[in-house]
Amino acid sequence: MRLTKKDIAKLSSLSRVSLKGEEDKLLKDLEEILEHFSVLNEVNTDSTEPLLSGGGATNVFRADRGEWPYRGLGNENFISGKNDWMQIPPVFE
Amino acid sequence: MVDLRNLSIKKIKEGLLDKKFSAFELTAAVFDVIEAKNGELNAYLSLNKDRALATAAAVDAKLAGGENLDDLAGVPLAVKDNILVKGLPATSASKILENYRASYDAEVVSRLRDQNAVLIGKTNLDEFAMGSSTENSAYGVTRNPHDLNRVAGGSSGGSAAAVAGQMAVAALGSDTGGSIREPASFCGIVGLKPTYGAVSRFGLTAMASSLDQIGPLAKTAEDAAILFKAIASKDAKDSTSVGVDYADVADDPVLEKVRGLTIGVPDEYFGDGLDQEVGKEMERAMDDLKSLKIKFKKISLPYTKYALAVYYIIMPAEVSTNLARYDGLRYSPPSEGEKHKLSDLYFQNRSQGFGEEAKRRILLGTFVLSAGYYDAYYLKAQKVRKLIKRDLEQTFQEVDVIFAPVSPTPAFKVGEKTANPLAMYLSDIFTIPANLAGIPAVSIPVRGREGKLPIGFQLMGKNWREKDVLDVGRLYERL
Repeated sequence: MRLTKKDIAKLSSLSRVSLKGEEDKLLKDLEEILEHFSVLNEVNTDSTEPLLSGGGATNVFRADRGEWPYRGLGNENFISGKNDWMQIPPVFE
Repeated sequence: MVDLRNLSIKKIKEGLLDKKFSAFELTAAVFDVIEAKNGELNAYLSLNKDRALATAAAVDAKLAGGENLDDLAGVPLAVKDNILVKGLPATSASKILENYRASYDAEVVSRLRDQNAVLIGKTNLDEFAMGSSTENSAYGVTRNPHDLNRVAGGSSGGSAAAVAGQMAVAALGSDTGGSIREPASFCGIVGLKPTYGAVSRFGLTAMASSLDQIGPLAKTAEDAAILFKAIASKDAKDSTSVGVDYADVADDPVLEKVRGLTIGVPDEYFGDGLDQEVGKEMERAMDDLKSLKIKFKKISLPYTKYALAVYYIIMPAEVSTNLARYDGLRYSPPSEGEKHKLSDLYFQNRSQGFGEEAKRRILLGTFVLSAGYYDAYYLKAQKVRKLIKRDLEQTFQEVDVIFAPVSPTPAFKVGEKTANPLAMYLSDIFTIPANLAGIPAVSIPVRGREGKLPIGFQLMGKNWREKDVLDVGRLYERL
């Protein structure tokens, strides 16, 4: 992976870190490190899911139900309602 | 005068109960050694002398009053400076946190206080724990007590040097890619990286959150087990912590049970790049373990060769995110120079506050997370991380413990690798897989190297089976 000074300037801007006089050294270091990363191209990961957490923990979700248990409970406070939906007077004429 | 050499946690308790010394005398003796040695070793960044002596005096009073002592009561402990101790500086060895004092205790520190442990001070590290030699500290390099021309390892180099230099009986460190095990190996002590989730990270200055873990550095595997037992906990303040029962982790190992374990030796850890002397010492340590009639088995971990690249993509990505909070408005001292707008303040403070390695990792992390490169680098690394973890999980169906070197070389000379970051990163090659997979791993010093540079071997275990690796280490130490 070849980087340019423009790339370094862009990264510096995104990171909010200015690099006065350090650009050349960083460019060389980052290129060398990115070159080492190319070893990962050997690995076929087409059918592999990414590992997202250190402990391998996963989120526990409740069932995705299309209903809300509290629907209708507040209707009595409104002027009128229809089919569990609350109706309010028009605000803008 | 209390003789601090070979003084273990267990021996301290015995000494206090037998009135061979008081906790106050012990603490005062530790500060005497610090006064004599810290100038050349630079293990401590700040000391807690008054409060430490007061805690020790309180322990003596409890003992005089006939109260029972906890395992760590009166034990002088050091704490890495990226772990918060209320009222003490917490610089993480960075200029950007130069004036910051912790306003609360880390969970691990609260647990040590509950046992009346004596907190001696805060130890040096690579800035924000980013490094393998403690040369990246904004407050100077920590030197190896065995050879002052050599590094103490990193990033928990201050904690390792403090224990090896008799300036603490044990210490806390943090391990993201080997930062407890490598300095322990270089300094000839024991270092344990617990299973990810075994110890609360609440109050640990975050570096790479999916990898960071707090653990003990100690003179013996038994001490490491006692300290680990004290800090392991489920903590509501860290959602990644898991409540595992570690009640027996420090119990005396039973030889017959340990003989029932099978130790795997992976080919991939003994190839090119391993220093010849380290290789020989690994053979010698294995021969010693075989004399205990523990079974050994050759294994293969084919994805090991990708671990370094995976780590140095994921870790900087998390670093660039975690260090974004240092914006010049909180924690940090005001930077020098004129500021015309808010972004000037960000740029100036971050540019003056972060050191070279921190900047390198922030930029690298920003790059691998940026549009157009995310899939090719970060997502790819997360997928290969899964394969490395799966590799280890499958291997642990055949074996109980994996034996490996800790580092390819013994402690290297100060300045030897600072010009070449990739060469420095290669120091972590054998320790990184345990962090990527989240498994526990311990560094144990090879026996019989008195007068030579220490070399450690590594034992990796199944998730939550710290007892397996510590027990093997404890039986090895008794040989």
